[in-house]
Amino acid sequence: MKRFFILCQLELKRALRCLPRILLGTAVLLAAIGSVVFCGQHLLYGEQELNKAKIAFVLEDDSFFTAMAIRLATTQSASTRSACEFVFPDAEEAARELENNELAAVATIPKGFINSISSGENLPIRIDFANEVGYEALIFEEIANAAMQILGSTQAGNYAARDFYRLCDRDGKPLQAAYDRLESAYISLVLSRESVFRAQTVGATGSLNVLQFFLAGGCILFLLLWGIPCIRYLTRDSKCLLAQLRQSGFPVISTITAKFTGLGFLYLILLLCILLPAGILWHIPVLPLILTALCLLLTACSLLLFLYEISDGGIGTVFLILCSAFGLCLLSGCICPLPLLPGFCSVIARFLPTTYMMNGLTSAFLGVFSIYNAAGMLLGTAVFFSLAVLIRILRTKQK
Amino acid sequence: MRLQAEHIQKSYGKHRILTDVSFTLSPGECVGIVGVNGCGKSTLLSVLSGIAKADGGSITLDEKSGRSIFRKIGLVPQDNPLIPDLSVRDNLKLWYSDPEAARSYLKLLGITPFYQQQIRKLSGGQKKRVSIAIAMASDPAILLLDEPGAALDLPCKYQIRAFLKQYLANGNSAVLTTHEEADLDLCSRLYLLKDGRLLPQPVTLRGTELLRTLQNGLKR
Repeated sequence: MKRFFILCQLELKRALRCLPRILLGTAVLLAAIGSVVFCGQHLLYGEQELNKAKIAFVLEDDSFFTAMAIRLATTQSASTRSACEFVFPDAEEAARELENNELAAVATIPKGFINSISSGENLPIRIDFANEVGYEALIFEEIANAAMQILGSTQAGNYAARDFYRLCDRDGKPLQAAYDRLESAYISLVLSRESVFRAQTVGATGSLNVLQFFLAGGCILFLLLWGIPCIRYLTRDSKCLLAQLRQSGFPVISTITAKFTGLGFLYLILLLCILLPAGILWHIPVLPLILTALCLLLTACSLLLFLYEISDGGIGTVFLILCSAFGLCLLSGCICPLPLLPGFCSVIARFLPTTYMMNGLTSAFLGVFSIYNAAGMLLGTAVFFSLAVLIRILRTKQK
Repeated sequence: MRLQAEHIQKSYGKHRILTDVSFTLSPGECVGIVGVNGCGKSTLLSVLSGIAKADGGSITLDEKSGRSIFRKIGLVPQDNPLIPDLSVRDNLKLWYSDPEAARSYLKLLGITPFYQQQIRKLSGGQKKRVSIAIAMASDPAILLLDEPGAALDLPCKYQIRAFLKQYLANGNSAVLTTHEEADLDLCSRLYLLKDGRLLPQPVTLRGTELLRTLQNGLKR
């Protein structure tokens, strides 16, 4: 046992000696990942923000009622606001700006527009589009079509209610009061359709915000990819040394355990560097974070040891780590949330250690230590460690 | 201690390396084994040291058998069993339970000047001397050396030979595989390993005669 502790101690020393080069490799890895993320973002979103369609409303009907209705319709709908910017110039200014392509469209509201809706006359709104019809105009056209349909259906409801009142009460006075209430409801509720819905935020990232989700996913991906700079430490010992160690009473499991200890030590340093600042930034309770970090390092170390055992230890190992890290992270929802992936991914994800790593870390970000996910990670550790030992034994027997 | 190997056989897959190897090694004796590359010299030493398991035959030490006998046999392999990232001191710490026991070998093998240095920074000769010190960790009565002088400079070869002479003078024995004629001067017996068998040769075999013998070894 004493000699095993000496071996572990020497592995720790060896890991510490490799640390400067590993940190250098980490910097290169970060630069590479950063470049990929930057280029990807550039390709996906481009440099410019999407312009809103600038729409002018010219009110020929200058009644208070019409102005209020149009302003309500244009300001209360978040979906409309996100795509359009509404202005209310006079007819001359609107025509000039439309000619200069400064406006995507001009909607002219005729006199008695609101009354025409109530009476069923339905005076048409004239919409003039700019000469250069861009995507803004197309968006506004879609919005106008949608508004027309909403208006039509609510109008039908309004008439149905009017008929119902008329049939139920033939005495003039109460009927007028009911009509007034109906108009009021129509203006305040129907035109601003969002007021009839309950606002609820639903996100694919669950309880985490997007930044926390990508930090958690990025952390898992980085933990696995960190095996590449660690190649300096993990490079397999010479066959001669391993044979001599076995001969002098160090079984395969003890040499792998010692290696695991050294790698775990390196990972502990890395995790402290990543998770402690995140914990301080978001005021996350320390204990769940530390416990989760320990489970994460055990799983990542065992997975990497396994990958090193099945590969040649050279460039093939780098390729294997790259493919495994991206594959596992993608299928586990670390790169893209699982609800956005095809259904079979969720089924596969249940059997992947990275799923439990991701879920464990997201729980830790919410200040909870998830025993279920910790158990999943520890099970993964046991499986990969056992496989690493088994492969080493088989390799030894072959030689 | 007397080492006796009888009818040793060893194969890797379908490739038979050692067909029938038998020999004895008496205390104070040094046996030299020559043979062309790939004839099985390293395999034979691996089997004799217990690192590789023989497919057949027996190895006894003072008529005792079992795994425990290999504790008294030290192996200096062709590749050095060293951890390159660690210092000589740390490497020796792994093998020597008593650090004091290593001190005598440090002086004898001339390791002291580079004791604190990282293995990675050592020359081939220095590494070989550390390997010998590691083989001596179990205080073996028999030392097996696999081409100890390969790719070393002359002073280093002389230093290793001087160490081996002293080791033999203390009543210990050694088995030496080599391609160097000068190493054969240490040997009291000489064998040619051919077709997986040890063929006794005159210990005085040198020069063109040795070359012709080895060339015959090639005609397999």
